[in-house]
Order: sequence, then structure tokens, then C-alpha cells
Amino acid sequence: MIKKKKVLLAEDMPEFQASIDNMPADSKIFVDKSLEIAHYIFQLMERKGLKQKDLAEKMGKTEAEVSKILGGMHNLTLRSIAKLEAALEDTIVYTPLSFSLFGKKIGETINEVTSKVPEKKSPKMTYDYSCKVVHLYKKHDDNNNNGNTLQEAI
Amino acid sequence: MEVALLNIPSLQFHRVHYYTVHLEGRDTNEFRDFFNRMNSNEKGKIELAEINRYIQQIGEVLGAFAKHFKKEDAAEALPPPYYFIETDSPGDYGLRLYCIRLTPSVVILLNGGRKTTQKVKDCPNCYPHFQLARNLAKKIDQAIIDGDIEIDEENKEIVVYEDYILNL
Repeated sequence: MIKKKKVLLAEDMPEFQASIDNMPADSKIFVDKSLEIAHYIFQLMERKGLKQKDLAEKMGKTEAEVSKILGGMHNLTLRSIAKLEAALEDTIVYTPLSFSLFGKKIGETINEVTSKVPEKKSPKMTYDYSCKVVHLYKKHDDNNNNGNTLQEAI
Repeated sequence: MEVALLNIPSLQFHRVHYYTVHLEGRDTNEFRDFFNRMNSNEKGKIELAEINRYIQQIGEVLGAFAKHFKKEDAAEALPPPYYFIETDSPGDYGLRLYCIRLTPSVVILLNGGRKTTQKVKDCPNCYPHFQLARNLAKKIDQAIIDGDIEIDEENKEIVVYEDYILNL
């Protein structure tokens, strides 16, 4: 005998999106970053086959301390992020200076970069070129000379 | 007490579809009741918005995996376990929204409140909602085992068969 499905009633909640749209910017940033960071830490632990106990050992902390860090009882400080990164042997939080382009680090050369020109401007033309990933910002030297920055590229 | 499962159309995201329930005799559904009560003061409004943003991002981007939910007996709660509550009050453990995570793509949002004690059984704001979530989770689990409720993973749908009435 074929059973009939009930049709579930629907009750929409437009106030849900409104509450997110009106939330303070720093709250939104905090939620998004905490999700991303936690998600990535758990992914790394899974990938490396690490339990909390193993992570604690690598960080030189007790399991209870690591549980507090990952369990929201301690605010995740820059110091604890650094310890996590060292223990997991991977970067969790990228900063502007360490940000890598096309998966390459500062100083590395990308040999095959293909760029397509939009069809409106020119029909399907592609360019192959090499470029070097450089610092976006370069410190002034004592004589107040700017170093070459983006001119080093291409 | 009869329990009606409800769709929430604007909370049907790419990775997760969220549902809620309407309890017989109550004025409104459980998630809306939580929303309205927490939204009634400035502090609650901000924390509520943060929980809503977690719901949205888990729904749209990450999926409802166990690591993003606090385990609460047979049910779960938001915000996630890694959420740090910034407070000067010793008796403030932040908001708790109890829910039932049926699969990584189907979650039922229920009710909750501001947790004021370490153990939920001592918190008058949260304990009734924790009990509802726990009891409902067990009822739904049994209904799934008995074939009265099914989860259609592909369509992220809770299928309830016509002759079945969910009761608490």
C-alpha cells in the first residue's frame, strides 16, 4: 500500500533576514571569521588524523585547555592562533602581506597565467605571460626612495 | 499535545533546509517565539542576529555538521561550541537556541532563552525548551525507525505520512 505524504504548512519569517541586514558590521565579521576559522581547524585536524589530545600535545597544552580554546570558553587570541598554526603545520589566518596569489607565495614566479580578453573588446584572444608575486607595499628606505613594487611584475 | 512541523521558505538554503514546529494551543511557532523574545532588548537583538548569521552561513555555505552545534542530550543547540561569549556578568552564558539536527541538510529550529546557570537543568529560561527539544528529538527518531517520518536527503525534505500525528 502506497502511503500518502502530508503537505507541511509553511510560515515564512522575513524578519530573519532583516535581523542579519541590520546587525553591526563587527558582529557579522566575527561570526563569519569564527565559522571559517573553526571549520578550517577541524578540517586540518581530520586531514592530519589528529584528535584533541594529539593537538594538545603538539601545542604543549593540556587537553582541557585545548577544549576550552576550541569550545568557546577562551577568546581565540593571536597567540593561540600562532600555537594552532605551528601545531597543525599550516596557515589558518592569512594577513595581507602573506596573502598568496594563485596559491603562490611572495617571491615565487607564476609561469603560466592565461587571461581572456572579454569578447566584446576582442574575440577570444588569450595572452600567456609570466609574472612574479611581489609585495603590494614596500617600506621606504632611509633616503626616502620607493622601491619598485608592481613594476617588477610582468 | 499535537506538534505540527512547518516549512520556513526563506530558511531553505543551498546546503540546509530549516524547519520549525507549532505546538497545539500556542499562538506562534517555536522559532518565531524565540526570535520575538530575544529581539525585545538591545543585547538580545545583537546575539540573536549572530545566531541568525550562523544559521544562514551553515545553511548556505558549510552544511549542518555536528561540529557547528552544541550537543544537548538527544538534541542540539546554537550558537556553535566555538562561539566566545563576551560578558561581564558571571551568570550569563549567552543565548541558547535548541534545535534538532536530523541530517547535515535538515535541521528543525525550536526555542530557547538566555542561559543563566552552568547546568541547563538549573536554568529556568532554558530548561523547558531543552526538555521539549530532547523529547521531540526522541519522538522523531522513533517515528523515523517506524517509517512514519522519512528524510528525503536529496530534496532536504521532512516527509510525514498522512496517517501519522506527531504528539508530545
